[in-house]
Amino acid sequence: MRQDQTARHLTDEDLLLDYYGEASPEQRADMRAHLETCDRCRALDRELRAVLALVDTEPLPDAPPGFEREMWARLEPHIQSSAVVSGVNGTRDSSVVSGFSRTRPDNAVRLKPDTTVRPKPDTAWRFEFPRWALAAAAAVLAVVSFSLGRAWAPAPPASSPESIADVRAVSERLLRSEVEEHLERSQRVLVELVNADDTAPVMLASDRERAADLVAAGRLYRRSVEEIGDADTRDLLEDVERVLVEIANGPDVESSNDLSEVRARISDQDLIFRLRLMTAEMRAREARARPTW
Amino acid sequence: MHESDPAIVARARDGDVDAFRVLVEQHSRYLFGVVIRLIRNADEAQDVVQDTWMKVHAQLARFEARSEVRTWLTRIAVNCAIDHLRSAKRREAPHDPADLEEHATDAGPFMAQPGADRLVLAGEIGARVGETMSCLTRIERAAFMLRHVEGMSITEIGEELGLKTSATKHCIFRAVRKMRAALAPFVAV
Repeated sequence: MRQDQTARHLTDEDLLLDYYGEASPEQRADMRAHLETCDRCRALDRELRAVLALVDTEPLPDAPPGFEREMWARLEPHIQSSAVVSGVNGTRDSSVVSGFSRTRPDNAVRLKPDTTVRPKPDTAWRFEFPRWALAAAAAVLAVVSFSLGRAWAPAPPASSPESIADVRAVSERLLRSEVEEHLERSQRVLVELVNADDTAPVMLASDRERAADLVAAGRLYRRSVEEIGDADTRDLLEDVERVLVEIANGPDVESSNDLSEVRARISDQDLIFRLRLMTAEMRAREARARPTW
Repeated sequence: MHESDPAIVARARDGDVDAFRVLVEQHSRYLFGVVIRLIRNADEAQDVVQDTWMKVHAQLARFEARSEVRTWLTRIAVNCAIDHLRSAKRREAPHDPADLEEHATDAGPFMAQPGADRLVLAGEIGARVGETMSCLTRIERAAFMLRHVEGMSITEIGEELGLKTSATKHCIFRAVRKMRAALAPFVAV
């Protein structure tokens, strides 16, 4: 049984649980044993770790200068008044504190933004990439590139021939798998729209939300497929995105007449047919590329 | 002499407003860093930090002296951020397509870049990570960040988010799959 477990290839989920230390000691031992002997899984493991290392390079904004003082200025009147009301802190429920407006049903107390006291923060700092952050990111990337370079160095002839040199192909397969799923979800939205009952309102907030999610994800995928030179998928994603944007930005409830333009676009561009064709091609390509273990 | 955090908390619990001010001044920037990863909006993050301090003030009596003050504060901040994410009615509006083109890159895989270009590419990667984070659903983002950055276990995250363990795992897997898909061009050889 244990031999079976070490013989099978590891999944992304296996590797992720191992990375975060969530695998049981036995699972971990099995995975270690497998990674010792499997170039393919070891390369995937390195790739996963490289991606997660890149996540850490995201430069996030620091709080603005003087944030601590400003925070205290916002809090002090309420803290002072609650100290006067209660005498000793922590002995009463926060709901008795005067001057607090509660916007949630739980115990959390939320102050209404007081724009007369708190000037609108300068948003220019919000998503700046500080030079130091870029330098730090570059440093991490250098480490990543080094480790990847080592991991993906040409394998000796005795190693599994399918593995190390094909890591790029594995990455692309991963991307295509995600894109295929995205296209299928997009197709479902468009099919529902086209087939909606003409006599009833057809567009609800939940539909708009689904479309908005798909727009955001689709843009991401579109850029990624462009970078790997897949112009056909990029063009399809772009056409689908235009329609989804219209759906996402529409009012909550719309009559079918209002949507006739969107439906016409779907039809004119053969979007549903193209989506079916593309996902079928992707599935076929995936089947051909899938290892036969 | 430097006063320890638990001692400052003890004074604040006894009604010393100045002690509470010291806590605010010492930890607000750190808490902002915790919250911004989950909220991803600086204005809202500031409000959540404010919420956090109000909650801390109301819960001073619950602090146990043997605990780490920063761990306790982090837990409250994460809870406030999750509350904020749950109560947020507004969805992020789809960006204008032009936004994407602004950040479009014609750079190839990172490994192929000469050293002089790496700062630029690092900025692009950072931007890509940020965009991908914004594309995650709120629950995926919260679960992933709590696991990846805050180091909470999947079980703890499930409890915080009100999800079963399997659903929590699924959220994290989905988030990582999206990350891998988005960042694949940067790690390809």
